[in-house]
Amino acid sequence: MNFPLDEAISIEIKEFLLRAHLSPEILQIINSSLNADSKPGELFKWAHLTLLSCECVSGVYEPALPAAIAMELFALAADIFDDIQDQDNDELPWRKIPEANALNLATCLLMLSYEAVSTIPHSGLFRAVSQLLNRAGICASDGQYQEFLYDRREKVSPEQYFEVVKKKSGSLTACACKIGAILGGASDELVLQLGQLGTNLGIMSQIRNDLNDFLRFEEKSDFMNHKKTLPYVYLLSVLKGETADRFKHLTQIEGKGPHKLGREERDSLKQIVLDEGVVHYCTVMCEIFRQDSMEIIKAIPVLEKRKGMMIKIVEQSV
Amino acid sequence: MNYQKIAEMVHGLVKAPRSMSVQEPGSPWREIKNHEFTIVQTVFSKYEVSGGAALAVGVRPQSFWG
Repeated sequence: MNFPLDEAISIEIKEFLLRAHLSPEILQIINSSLNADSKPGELFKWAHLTLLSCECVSGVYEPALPAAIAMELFALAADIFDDIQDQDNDELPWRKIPEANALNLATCLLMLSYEAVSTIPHSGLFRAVSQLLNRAGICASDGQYQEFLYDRREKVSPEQYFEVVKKKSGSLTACACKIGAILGGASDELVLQLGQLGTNLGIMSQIRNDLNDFLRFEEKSDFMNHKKTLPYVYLLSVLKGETADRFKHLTQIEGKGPHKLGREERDSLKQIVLDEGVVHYCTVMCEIFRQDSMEIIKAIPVLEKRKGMMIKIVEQSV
Repeated sequence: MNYQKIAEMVHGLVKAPRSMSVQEPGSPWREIKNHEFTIVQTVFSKYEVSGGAALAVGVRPQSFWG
């Protein structure tokens, strides 16, 4: 990532938060939560995506700074809500405070993101950006709601999975790209193209996370919670006969009492994953979205140097 | 994109790697687009070249937007 730009974003966020007159306690938890789950060199990724989209279109990133801050705060709020719902990522700052206050924190961050958008000076752009942020939030919540309903269903098709993931994981990344493009003065067509690229980034990341987490029984409870991740959905849709029965048995173990799978059951599930092509399928699907993203980047009227930056982001998402 | 058909094709290829190397007009995979078919073939040939090493399920860093 771009370290001077990280610094500029950091200063902008600090000044913005100071102007909000928050109590020292909530300010402290906000500061420790920002970038808490980022790797070194990958700070403020939501702000960066928004700024990159703007820069690709206009050659400069500055017009998108208020919206970039808004995206960063909005995405952090969404992460907090998500972790509370999933009871996940216990090591993160917002999981170490009482849940009621984590909810207050997420709500505060949501409101702050709208406050950041309201500093966009041009009223037409302010309306457009607000609308995009609202729609992304509505879409992501709808996806999350549907996902929870699917947890209780015995069967979810790959089509249904991708419909939900597009909403749940693709809407925020699409929003960041579209907002940056709009603030950079992009045509409607270019906004749509960059939005599609953003959707693909979110979908690819979700596929990777789903595959990554599927067999991490100690840290993740996706399988035991019947979360319809891509490996789960794939196995449900292709297995037949004895293997299907074996998989079904594993999915029903929780209902019979034990909280976690035993060693034998874990090995059995791992064997099914290896024998039935789970990794192949997830790789194929990721590759389809990666190639679609490359086609979009090839087609958009943007300088080659900036296309290179977009390609790098696509490769990071796979 | 026909996600179900792609899933079935991948599963079929895992079970019988040489069974569906061409996309014939009457094949059950005709609903899969040409570029998707090519991607499936490419992924399988990569795994074959790596001797299946890529099949190992290991923990990778969390994804960028996760």
